[in-house]
Amino acid sequence: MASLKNSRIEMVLEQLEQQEQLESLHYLVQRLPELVAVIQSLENQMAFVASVAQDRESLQRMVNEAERKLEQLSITKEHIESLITIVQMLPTITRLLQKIEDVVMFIENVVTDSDSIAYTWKGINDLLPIEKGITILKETNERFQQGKQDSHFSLLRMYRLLKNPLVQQGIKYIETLLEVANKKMKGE
Amino acid sequence: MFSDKTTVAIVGAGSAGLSIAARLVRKAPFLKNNVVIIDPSDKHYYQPLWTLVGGGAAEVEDSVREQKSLIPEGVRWLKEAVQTFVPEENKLLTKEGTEIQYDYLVVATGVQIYWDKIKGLKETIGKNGVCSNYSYDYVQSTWENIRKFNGGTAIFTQPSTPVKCGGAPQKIMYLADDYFRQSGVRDKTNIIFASGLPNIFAVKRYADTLEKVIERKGIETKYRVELIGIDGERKQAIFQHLDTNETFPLHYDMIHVTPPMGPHEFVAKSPIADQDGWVDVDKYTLRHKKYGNIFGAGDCTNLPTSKTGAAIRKQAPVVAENLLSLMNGKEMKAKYDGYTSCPLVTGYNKLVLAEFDYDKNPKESFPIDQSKERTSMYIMKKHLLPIMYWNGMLKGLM
Repeated sequence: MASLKNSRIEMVLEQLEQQEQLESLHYLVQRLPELVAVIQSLENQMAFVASVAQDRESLQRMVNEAERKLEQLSITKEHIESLITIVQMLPTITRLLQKIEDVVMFIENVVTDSDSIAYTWKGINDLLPIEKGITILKETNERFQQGKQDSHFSLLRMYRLLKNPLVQQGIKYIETLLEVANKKMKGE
Repeated sequence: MFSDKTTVAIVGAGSAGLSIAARLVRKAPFLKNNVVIIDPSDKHYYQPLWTLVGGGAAEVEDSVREQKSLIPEGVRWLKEAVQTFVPEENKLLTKEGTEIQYDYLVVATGVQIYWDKIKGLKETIGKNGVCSNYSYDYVQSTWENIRKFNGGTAIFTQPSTPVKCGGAPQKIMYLADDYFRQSGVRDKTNIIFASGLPNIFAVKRYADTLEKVIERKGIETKYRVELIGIDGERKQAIFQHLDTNETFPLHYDMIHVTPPMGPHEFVAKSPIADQDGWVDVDKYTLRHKKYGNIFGAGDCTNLPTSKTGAAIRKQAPVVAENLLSLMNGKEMKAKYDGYTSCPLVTGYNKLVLAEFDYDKNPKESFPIDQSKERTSMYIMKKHLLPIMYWNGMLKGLM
């Protein structure tokens, strides 16, 4: 029995004499203070966990509180399934949110950039002559107000009005519209 | 000598520089105040509008803003001019004597216009019927010449060098043709397109449309000819045929010059440049081929694609993303496919929106045939793109 023990010790000593083992031992000895600190920290944490696990009163209170909050949420199976779906979709949702953020920031930039607003207004006027239209309407209103008293509208004035190219075009448009509408109705 | 240290240095506060800076501080807030952008110019120009300014369809004032109003929050602006790159020591030096030490560098200096490579041009530009859209100072002279043109020969040139927006030299010609028709002088006008390139456009799909535009408008074309001199007083332009080296004069009553362009001298002479003087970057990752902590974007690079603002719009996110990946020890996944776009104005209210990649494959954004001339695309260029540029692209949002 004693000889078996001795031979095992010898085997261990032989192993320890190897270069690789010696280097490892050296490393372990060097790092010993750090390792001890880590082990102490782990011990403390384990002691804390053990203490909490034994503190039935605190645990009961925590569980009750959690259950009460969960009950308030009225979470059903559907909620859980939706949550799983959302988690699965997170990469897509994140991408979309980033894009939405970009769009929102772009809109914010445009509306707070007076130069861009002025440029857009100029552009709108190029496409739709709003300012010209406003001037026409303004002058029309003024002249209409001035000439309101002169309410007599003779046949001669009506005839002159009918000869106006704009009125003629308008009438022609209405005429064509009526023709097309008539044709469609007959077709049905 | 003043010395400064920064995590990221960006050379050039043009479209690429500002867009990348804005993206970096948005995506990585820890970089705030650790990004320095170096540029001596206190003005920033939206140059795509100059075609329309030259054609009398937009105002030059709408194309310029104060640089300081565009520098992203959290980015420092050094209003100096870089003179020397020392990539081996991760530093650069400015003309004013500042030394900047950086961890990462982005080079986005744009191109240099070489007005003096055309003999006599500098002396006569802006007068004697000589105009050019390629400068804030001269662009209005183009509209003056077009507006006052009474007939004769109108020449529009394009050099054989790469230029910013390869389609721009012909756009102004189409607008001029439209205006000459409106003002009743087209019948007594000969329009010549004299280009150093071998064809009207590099991508066949759009070249086919443009050939038809040229034919419809009755424009005479001369390819592989380079403008080498101008005699303003005699109204004579000297061209050289690039295949035969033969020189020949052409009389003009109006000439719109697209000057030769190339890399800035301080870039071309630096170790970061390739043999042609452009910043030598990988065409997909936009990282420098030799110096791993340097990236390049925009017109100053040797990317084999057309130099446009639209190309920069796609390059900026790739540079920002790859630089941050490198900084965080992650794999660089963003790839640039060579996308570029040229809104080819073919007249007032008409535009062909060319979009393509490295392989000249169309990469069109809209579900319509963009090779056709369209009013909708013209409206987009004139009214929407400037807003997108100032508020979206320069803010790193699009």
